[in-house]
Amino acid sequence: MSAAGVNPTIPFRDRARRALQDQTLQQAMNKAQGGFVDKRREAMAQLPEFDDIRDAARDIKDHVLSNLDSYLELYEQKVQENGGQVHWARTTEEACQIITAICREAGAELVAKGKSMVSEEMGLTGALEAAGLKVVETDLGEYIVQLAGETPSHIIAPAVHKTREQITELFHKHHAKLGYSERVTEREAIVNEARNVLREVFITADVGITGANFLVAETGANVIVTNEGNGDLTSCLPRVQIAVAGIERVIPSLDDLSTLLRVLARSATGQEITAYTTMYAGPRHKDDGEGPAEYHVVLLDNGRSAMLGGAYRPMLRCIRCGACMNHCPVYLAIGGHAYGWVYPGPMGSVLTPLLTGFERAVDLPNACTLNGRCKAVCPVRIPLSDLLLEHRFEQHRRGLTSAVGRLLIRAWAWLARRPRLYHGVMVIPLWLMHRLGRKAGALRWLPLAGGWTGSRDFPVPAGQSFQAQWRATQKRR
Amino acid sequence: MSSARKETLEAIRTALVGSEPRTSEHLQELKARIQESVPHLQPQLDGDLLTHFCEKHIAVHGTYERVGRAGVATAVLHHLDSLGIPPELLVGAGPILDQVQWPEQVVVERRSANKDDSVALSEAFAGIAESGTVVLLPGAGRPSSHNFLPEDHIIVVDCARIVRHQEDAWTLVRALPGQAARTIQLITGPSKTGDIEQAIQYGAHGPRRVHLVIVEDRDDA
Repeated sequence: MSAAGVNPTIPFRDRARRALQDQTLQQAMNKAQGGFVDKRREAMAQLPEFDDIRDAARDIKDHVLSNLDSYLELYEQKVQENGGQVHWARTTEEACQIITAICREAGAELVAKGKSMVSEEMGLTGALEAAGLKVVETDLGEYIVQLAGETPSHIIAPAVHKTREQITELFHKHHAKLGYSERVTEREAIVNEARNVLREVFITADVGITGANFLVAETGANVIVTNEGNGDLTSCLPRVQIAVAGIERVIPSLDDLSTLLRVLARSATGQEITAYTTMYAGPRHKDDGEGPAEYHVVLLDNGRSAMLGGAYRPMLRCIRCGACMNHCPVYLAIGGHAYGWVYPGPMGSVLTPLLTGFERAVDLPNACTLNGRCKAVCPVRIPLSDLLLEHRFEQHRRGLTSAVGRLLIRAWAWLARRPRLYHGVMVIPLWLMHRLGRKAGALRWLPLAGGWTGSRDFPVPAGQSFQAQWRATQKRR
Repeated sequence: MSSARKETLEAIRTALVGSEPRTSEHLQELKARIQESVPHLQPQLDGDLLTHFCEKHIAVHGTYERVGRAGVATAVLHHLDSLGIPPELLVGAGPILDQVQWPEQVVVERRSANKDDSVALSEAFAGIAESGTVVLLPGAGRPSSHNFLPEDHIIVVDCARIVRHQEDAWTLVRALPGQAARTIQLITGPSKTGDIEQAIQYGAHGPRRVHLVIVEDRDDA
């Protein structure tokens, strides 16, 4: 399985440490903190039915997943009726080959791309560039990240890690040759410059590639949800339209779509609905006058079908809103790049081991405090923190945890199953810790736990165990 | 890549039902669920639909004017005049727009938009009160490019076609005769981005301004 963008050479711990020391990143992340959370909370407050609609959204996704093969067939049939073509890809390589072939067939030179996480998963831009095509990202955040030679650090706000000053410099560096010699520093001027530069791309691109928030079996349409309108310009102007999607994106009907849309935008940005929600079904009709002559959908499996059978199936409900990362203390501290692959935050820590291999992402499920906020805010009620815990069990079963750790756990388990011995052994450290910390009321330092006590104190335990105290009380009576 | 199709579907089937084959009844059940699809739980929405629609549209940075059937041309020209934009516009097809008599000085074109066009005038297929959204169905005489390339988008909405919830618009779409719509666009306010420092900036790639001309069922202007 390919894992575009994975950098296994730098361990997660080092990436996280670097992120924490990166002043510019910390500045950008501080600005982002709270905004998403507050907006979501306000949107929820205005919709008393929100939690019940979340249940309905979860049920729709569960129903689809239980019948995924059949819904994919129904959807495919509809796309074909509309005059479109459906392509199936088992792996990301296969998907890239299919898309490269479509572009070659079309004699394409320039490809406009809308924001699509599954295309990041495929490493699609790199594959198309390797085939000699020019690819331009058209979502402003993605465009900024592309100019910087980076990958998105958030699934709905790809450039959340960039400060305005960095964007000013990037634009100056890349746009000067296009005749934009002045540095643009104000937000409005930056957006305008991108608007003007990217307009040329929309007009001249031969192929437009977008993702799909949903695929509707009822109509055979791919749905894209945006605020900028770039996805629509990418879809409706070039001669060839390609939508890429994971196989789990299919939903039955337009009514199901409405329920999912109601939780998607609110969870992502706190909006009731984004500025644009568009359904594209097939190529242009005979009298349309404009629109793509060819319409392709590429459905990617890449490990998803394998997730259906086991404990991780709920993860396939994910509608990619980003609420889990917006509410994750670990994500907000280290940003998305530290996660090392396409999907960051809690949803990424669940998905990455499943899509790229357990042994390649051992640290991710452990970079979690199990505070459960991700699970609490998920619009389709994915038990994210439980799945992260499941990953830890899986690591233990697969022998991916450290040998010392496993030995200690085994020793502890052995001891804990022998209550008399356990209590006998525990008397010593309890007494010792009690003696040492009695005066200060807290322990500043503990042997073997320097990392823990480095930033907090350990409460001093009572000198005796609960059971010992209980026995003493009983005797006194 | 038909082997990829076969393998993917088989892998899904194995994960879901093991070696049991899917029956044709099963497929019929799912088809019926689609054909007889009904809305799930919807947000409660009381009061006057038109008022709600207008309030929601204002909340997403849109503007609007309510007029009678004879008032469309005047409202459009007045809006452009207030922005200092010359009366040159791309006009899409629609039951109301097809009836509008434009004064001589107005330049009306009916073609696809290019990147230098500044104003497009469209007629909405429906309005959704729930979110202040307009539904556009691009097609013959109603190019998609009108909805995204010009800086100003003016949309005529027939008051009688403002529905309560999103699902009510699907009911109207499903009732259309002939070939199903290729494109269904829900537009809620002007184009915007939050990609720079998470602050909202309007006019990202699409229109900077969206102005609704809401046509009520009265003969005056």
